[in-house]
This record gives sequence, C-alpha cells and structure tokens, in this order.
Amino acid sequence: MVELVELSEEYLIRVENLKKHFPLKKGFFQTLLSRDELTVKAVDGISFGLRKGEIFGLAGESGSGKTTTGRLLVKLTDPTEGAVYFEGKDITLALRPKLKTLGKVAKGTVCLVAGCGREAKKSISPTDVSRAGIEASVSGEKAYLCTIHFKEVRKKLTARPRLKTVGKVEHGAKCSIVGCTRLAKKSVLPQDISGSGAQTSSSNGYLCNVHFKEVEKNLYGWRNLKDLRRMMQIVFQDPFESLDPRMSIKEIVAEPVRVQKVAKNEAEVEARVKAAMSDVELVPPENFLYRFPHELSGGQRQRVAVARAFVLDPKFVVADEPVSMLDVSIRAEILNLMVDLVQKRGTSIIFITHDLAVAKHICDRIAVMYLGKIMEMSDSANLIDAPLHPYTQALIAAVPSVDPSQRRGDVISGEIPSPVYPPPGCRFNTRCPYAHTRCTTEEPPLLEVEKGHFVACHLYT
Amino acid sequence: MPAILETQDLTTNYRTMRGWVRAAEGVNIRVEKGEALGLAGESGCGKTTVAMSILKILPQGGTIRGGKIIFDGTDLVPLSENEMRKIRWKGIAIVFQGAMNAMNPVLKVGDQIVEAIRTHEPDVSSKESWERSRKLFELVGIDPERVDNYPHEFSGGMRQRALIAMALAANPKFLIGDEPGTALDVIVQAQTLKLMRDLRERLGLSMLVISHDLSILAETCEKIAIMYAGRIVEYGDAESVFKEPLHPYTQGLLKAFPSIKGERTRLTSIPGQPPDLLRPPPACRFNPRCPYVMDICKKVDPHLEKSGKGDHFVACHLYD
Repeated sequence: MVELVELSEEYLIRVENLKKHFPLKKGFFQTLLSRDELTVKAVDGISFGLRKGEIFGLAGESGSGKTTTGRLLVKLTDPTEGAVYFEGKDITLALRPKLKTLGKVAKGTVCLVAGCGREAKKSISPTDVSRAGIEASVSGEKAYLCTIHFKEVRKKLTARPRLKTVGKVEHGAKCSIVGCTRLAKKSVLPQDISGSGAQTSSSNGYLCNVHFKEVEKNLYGWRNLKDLRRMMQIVFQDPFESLDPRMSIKEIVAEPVRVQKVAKNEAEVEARVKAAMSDVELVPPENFLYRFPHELSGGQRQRVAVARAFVLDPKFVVADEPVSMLDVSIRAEILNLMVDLVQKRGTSIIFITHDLAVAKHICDRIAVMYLGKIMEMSDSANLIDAPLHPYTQALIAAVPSVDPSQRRGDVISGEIPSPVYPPPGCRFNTRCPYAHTRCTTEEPPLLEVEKGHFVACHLYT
Repeated sequence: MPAILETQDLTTNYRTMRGWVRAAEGVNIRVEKGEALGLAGESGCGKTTVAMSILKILPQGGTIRGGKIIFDGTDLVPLSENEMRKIRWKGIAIVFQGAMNAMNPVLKVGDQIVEAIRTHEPDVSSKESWERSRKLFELVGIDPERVDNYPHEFSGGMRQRALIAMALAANPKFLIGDEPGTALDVIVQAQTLKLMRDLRERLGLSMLVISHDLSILAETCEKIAIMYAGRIVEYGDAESVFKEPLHPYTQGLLKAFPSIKGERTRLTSIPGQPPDLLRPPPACRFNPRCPYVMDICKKVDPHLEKSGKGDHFVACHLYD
C-alpha cells in the first residue's frame, strides 16, 4: 500500500490503490494445460489526489497505463480493485451494477463469515466483504461465502437507497435551501436535509429538483452515471476520430447539453454552444456551426473537442494527449486555451502526456508512470529540474531539443516490458542503470523524500 | 561537392473541382552526396508533396506542372513509368510516415522485404533474399529470427526499424524519411533517430528528412529548408537556421517549441491558420500571419536570397 500523507477534503478527486487488470484470452490447449488466469496489468495499484483548479500531469511511455488511468477516472471502464473518490464519494462503488463473483468454489469449502457453518457457494473479492461491513476471517485472494451471506453482501453493496419524500408541496412554495429561488417540487424530512450538510432558510423540508438530487447524492452517493458525467468530461487524443463525421459542429457541441437536458429550449442550446465555441476561439461561431468535421483542420477539430468537453462547465476534465496528433506550431494554442479555461472556471484537469517539456509548462504537479505504477510524483518544476527516479531522469534525457549542438546522447536501451509478466521487484530494474540485487526482489514503496516529492526507488530508502 | 539530388523550380499542383491546389511552387532544394537535408513545415504546407514528386508517386490529380528533378545527373520529370521503376528503391527509397500502418498486416515482415528485393533485383534467388532480409534486420538492430513475424507482433519502435530495413532492401543511394519517429514515444524516437544517424555514416547515404517537428531535424540533418504554403522560405545550415532564424515564420516555429530547461512560462504560438492553397494570399504567403508585415509584403513576392554569413538564404522583405 502507498502511504499518502494528508488525504484531506481539499482533493476533488482522490484515487486509492486503483488497479485495472484486463483478462487475456487463452487458446483451447492453454486452458487445458493451466488454470492460471493471465491478465494485462495495465494499472497496478496507484494512489494520488487532484486538487481543485489544478492541472495534474500523468507522464510515461505508451504502455505505462496512463490512458487506462484516465479512463478509470471518468468511469469509462470499471476498476478491478481500488476506488476513485469524486468530491469524497466513491464513484466506483455507488454505481457498480452487479457484485462481481470470482469463479467456482471447490466442494466442501466453508463460508468464511464468523459463526456461519454453511457450505460456501460463491467467491467474491475480500474488499467487497469488508466494504459491506461483514466480519469474516478472510485469507488470500478470494472470500468464500454461503448463498445467504452472499445475498446480504449484494444487498448492502448494490442496493441504493432513495431519498424519501413526505407529503405534498404547497402551491407556489420556494426551495428551502439558502440562496435558491426556484419553486419547490419535493417535500422531504427536514433532518435529511440537515444530514446532508446543506444550509436551509426554513425547516419545511421543501426542495427544488436540483437540490433534491444534490441532497440525495450527499446522503447516499451518486444516483446514476448521467449526473456524474455532467461533472466530468474527457478530451480524446485523436480529433480525427473522436468527432462524428456525420454531425455538424453545432450538433457535436450541443449533444452533451441535450443529453443532460440542461437547456430549456432550442435558443438556449444554441446560446450555450456559441458561448462554448467563443471560449475556444472558434470565432465567429456562426461560421462554424453548420460545418462538418472534415471541413476543419486538425487544430480546429481539437478546439471543437475541447468545446464539447467544457460546454457543461464540468468540475473535472481528463485530457488524453490532446495535442500529440497536432503540429508543433499549433499545439501551444490549444494548450494555452485549456490553461485559460482552467483559470477562468476553476476546473481540475488530468493531463496525460508523454512529452515532459510540455508537461513542465502546463502542469502544476506531475506523476511519472511506468508499467502501471507511479514512479515519481512532485510539483512540475521540482520534478523536471531535480528528478530523483532513474526513469524520470531517462525520460528527461530523451526530450528533444531544437538546438543542433545539443543532440540527445545515449538514451536508455530497450522497450517497456510486457505488462502480462511485469518484472519482479522494481518494475524498472530491467532497464535501470543503477539496478542492484535488492531491486530485483523487493518492490520499492512510493515514499515522500522531500516535502511533496514522492519517489519509488531503493536509491532513496 | 556535386549534388546527388536537386530540384529546380519544382511546381506540383493538385487538380480539384474548384481549381488547382498549389501544393508546391518553385521549390529549389539541393542535397549533396552524404548530406542530410531537413524539410520542415506545418501539415498542409506541401512537404510530403515534394517527396512524392521526387519519386513520382503522386496521388490522383497531382501533376508536376513545371521544373526539374535532377537525380544523379538525370532529370526524372520526363521519365516514363518503366524508367522510374528502375530509380525507385534502387536509387531513391522512402520510409513512409505512420510506422503503425505502413506495412501489410497479412504478410510476414520478411515476405514484404523479400518482395521488395526480388521486384527490383529479379536475378537474386529466394534463399539469398531471405538471407539479405535477415542481414537487414541485424543492421537496424532487430533479432534476425523475427523476419518470420507479422507486423502486429512488433512494437511501434520495431515497426519503424523494420520499415527502415525495408527501405534499405535494394541498397539505395538516397533515402527519404517522411515524418520518421513522429508517432513514437520520446525514448523510442531517440533510439530510431540514433539508428538513422548511424546508418547514414555506415552506408554513406544521402537523405531528405521531412517533419513538422524541428527537434527531429535538429538531430539528424546538417541543412534545413523551411517550407510555408508551398514555398521554401528559409534555407541554410542547421546551426545558423536554428541559432539565428531570419524568417518570421521560422522564428515563430522555434518559439512554439517548449524547452525543458528554464522557467515555467506561457507557451507561444503563431496566431492564425495556414492559408488555403486553392487561393493563396498575394505576394508573400505569410503576410496575413506575420507580426512584421509591411505594405511591400502584400504586393511583391520575396525571393529566396542569400543573407547573413555562410549558406543561409531567406525569402523575406525584412532583409532586402
């Protein structure tokens, strides 16, 4: 486990021991010969926090797991293990549709729940058992449960309670939340509102639809994915593939507005689309509204993708190598645009990149990933100017320069190993110039060696 | 030194329903024996068109409308398809852009190299050409046993190496690299460029390297030509072009390149869009985006003229 000091409330996104293993398909004969399940360990236990209004860089080679991390954060895929907290609420837990079982149980296995002597029928992950708050003596990878206890766990983890409504709302009454002037639509118990931490101006328990959802979220976690997606968006790498060629620019940018039903009428939809397009300097918006993606240059397309991500005013955006497909000369414009949007709106951004030179100028903090693990994490200036991990040093040495007298010297040889069979001990030991015996046996933990500077390397322990 | 490849006022246009797209106009480049020339510019500036004109493999609608391409003393423009076939691969070979998609996914990598060898040198036996493809793999630093693999079994860096091996199959004198290493990670990119430098020295190759990424050119080439909207705007030794850029466009390109050294700053860019080559701006094509634009820039076309010390040419009215 990674030790992170002060995981306090200031983090908008908090990631704890996040893992994503993709199962590999095996051939027929391989299934007969071995029962081991092969997995690609794309992300293998990472923890970090993202502050409000911060740009956090995830850097590394391809195959380091940075894109998978980005997709996990906006819940485009579900993690194998670990949790992502958005505003303190676990998004992986609240929205998990089913309780995952882990294969067959051998006959004669006994249920592990204390005091239960029945035969076990199902196996689930031990973390799920502890999450459900059931006491069981679990050892090893799987927890075995009898049918009764399995159902109990399932109910606790997957059933989501709703906020109860009581009585009727008086006609014309206002929402009781301080500062809200909307008409009340729902009436709930006053203690539920105070339990959610909201400030009320009267104790009648009346709520408008917006605050009803918010109170419900604060009490019981995220209700559904749609509400969550209003808060978090993603900008994909390739603007040539991420825009539907059959939709006009207006339809592309308007789609999130329509799906989320945040505009009252067509005029409001158009106003929001135009505002978003002006923000990304596609001006005048009228010139672009009815054009199609193939009529735009790569840079303009990526602006459309940025406009689409920011049109709902999200709190959190994942930018997955947003400029790597673009010419060097127009990269700066797109990046500056995103920095301006962050400063204007206080959005937090996860910026995924393999270019540390760009990351230095854009990001507030950077984490360097290698084979699904975080190798080093620090504020950007510190990480680039005084890198500690040999891998970070190698990445920085490989950054190209436009000065012909400063050609890149010898860079580390070899390529990133297979994530199916990651090297034992420190994952970088096969390519590390300083590797010694300890590195091949013992995995270094991510430790804070200076204030705010974390590194996972035996050289510093 | 004699030039191995020279273009004189090369003009290549594409015919479209709305008129001619002026992708390359009056392009003069010169590569001496054993030298590497870097051709830089934004996407859509015509740099790939120049490469395809040299090999005469332009897509439909593309025509060389004027100028000469002199390779090893002969002009390639009037040559027939059959005569060109003798020049391609044996004389001039190309490493295409997009290491991921440039190979046939249903053929073994070795088969694709053998095909190239046997098409261009029909007297070589099959056994001999397999032997040669193994040697080529060794040359570019891949395990020779892997000639029997399919492209999907290779990583991005290995595919780029295999493509270079394939281009070298018929011992060419001249190599064109179209965006080598641009889709690769920094570490693999550095390895690939180092390989290209080594090969050049060992085989005495001359090269034309095309890229939008100036750092790739800084690392591989001695001469640099900067192209903007179908024209060469600056040409010279890499040292002087990168250290003392003269054209405002070159200056902008260099400033847009983030440096890993120094303080955290806001990135700079060249404002505006590259022009529509169907209707390019009059006179100097950079005038709508140029920070130093003068009246003359909109009326008179600047010519590529010698400026400063050494071999440094620039097409800009600031230096008239």
